[in-house]
Amino acid sequence: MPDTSVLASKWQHMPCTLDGGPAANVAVGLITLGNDTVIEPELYTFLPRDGVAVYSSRIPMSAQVSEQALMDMKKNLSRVAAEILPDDKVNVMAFGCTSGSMVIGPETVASEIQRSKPGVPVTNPVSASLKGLKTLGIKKIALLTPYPDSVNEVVEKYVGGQGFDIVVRGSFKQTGDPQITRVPPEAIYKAGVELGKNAAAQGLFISCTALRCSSVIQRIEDAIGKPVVTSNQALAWDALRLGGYKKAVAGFGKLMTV
Amino acid sequence: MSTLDGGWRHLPFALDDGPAAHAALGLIVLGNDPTIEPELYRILRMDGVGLYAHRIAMGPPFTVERIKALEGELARAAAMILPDDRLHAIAFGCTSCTMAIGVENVARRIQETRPGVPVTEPVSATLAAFKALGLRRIALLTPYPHEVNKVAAAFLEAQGLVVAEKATFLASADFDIARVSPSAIEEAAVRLAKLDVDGVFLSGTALRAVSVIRAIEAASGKPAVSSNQALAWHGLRLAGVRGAVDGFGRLLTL
Repeated sequence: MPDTSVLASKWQHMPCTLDGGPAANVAVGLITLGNDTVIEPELYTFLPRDGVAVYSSRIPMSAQVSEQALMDMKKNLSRVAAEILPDDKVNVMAFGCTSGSMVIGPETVASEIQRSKPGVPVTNPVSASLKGLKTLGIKKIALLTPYPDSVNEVVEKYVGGQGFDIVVRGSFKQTGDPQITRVPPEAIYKAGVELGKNAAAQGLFISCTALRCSSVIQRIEDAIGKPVVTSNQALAWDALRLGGYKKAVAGFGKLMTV
Repeated sequence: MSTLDGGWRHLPFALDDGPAAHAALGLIVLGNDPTIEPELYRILRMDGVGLYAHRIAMGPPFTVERIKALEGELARAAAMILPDDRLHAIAFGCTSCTMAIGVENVARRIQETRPGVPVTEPVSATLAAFKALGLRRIALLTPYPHEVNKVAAAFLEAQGLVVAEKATFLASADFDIARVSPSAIEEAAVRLAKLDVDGVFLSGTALRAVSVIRAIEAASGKPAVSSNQALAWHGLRLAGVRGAVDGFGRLLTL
């Protein structure tokens, strides 16, 4: 290493003012599944750019989705939460898995995360989505998922148990995130319209953070004339509202405007 | 079109290349850096490009000894990012740590778990940027305390650059570095760039430089390179994405 004593003497000290930083309004901590390639770009698409930012760290999850694999994430929630801005403010913590939140249970997800982030509100895609559906006055839903049969059963049971009536359901039946992330948005659009146009459905819920819904939510709503709630959209909405950000965001369905 | 199966309609379709068809970029972030992700997303908001982050523990005090200890964590962190999916390039998001650890060591550690994936960090990225822009005599603006400043200046000089001007905000942790206002960064960088230098380098991934690069270049008439801007550019180019991106300085058009 070269002698640096001479160099050190020539530094100018620049004056500066400190402000609220890059996430002055809402800093969202995100626990992301290892193989999910969709949630981060989708959240950055949904979230406004005035002082809102997402800080991600990853949790191990098998490439084959199953009830057991989802439950296995529970033991790592607290550790991963601790990695995210340990010495800076986080306004909201989000767990980036819809089916995993159902299997582990939203209350347990929150209490595990709050072990390392005490006092920080926690959201997850299923609580956020169901809250979104309730806020929009929707009880009878069309349901679209990408999951295999075993996980679809979990979703059906959970959503039904929360007082929703699933009037029509469809699935892409993929085995895990490396496939789910490759379901084309156009296929989501077609499936969403096919299910959502069912006369008995008051709205459409598209489950899973690894599905690329951001470019088709508004188009499906326009085609079916009913609200569309998706995992990432609802997660973004709930994180903003929990973080105290009340402004409407246009272009991603009715939910982001309420 | 669809078939019924226990009340579930199975919906036929063909898979495509996914959300990061052109560039899936992995990012190893220091736990407390609140700036690198929003800044990289600002630049990388384009079709077919995705940024996938994982964090490693790093807290104050921000000493050379501590950042050297990070080396051991790089292989484990790289293994957490899309373990069963493809990555086109992987970036380690710390300028001063890379100087302390060494460029080759960073790449070697990351490639232990991601063999064959090109690696970048702000040091290689900025050196490549200076070369692409033809900068040799630079002004250096950092947010760091003096212990880190000495390493940064000596490292650049050892690479054959002339660090003709040096200035610092003297902040000790990411918390404060990230809160240095962009207007203060712009003012300081313009002052330096107007001196007898080819361009200005704004070091530090937690420093919010990306939003003011264009203004610095417009006011000084010289190129401005920042850690995050160079990292985004180098990551894209290593991944094979060649198009110009407007609004973030001359570098992103090369």
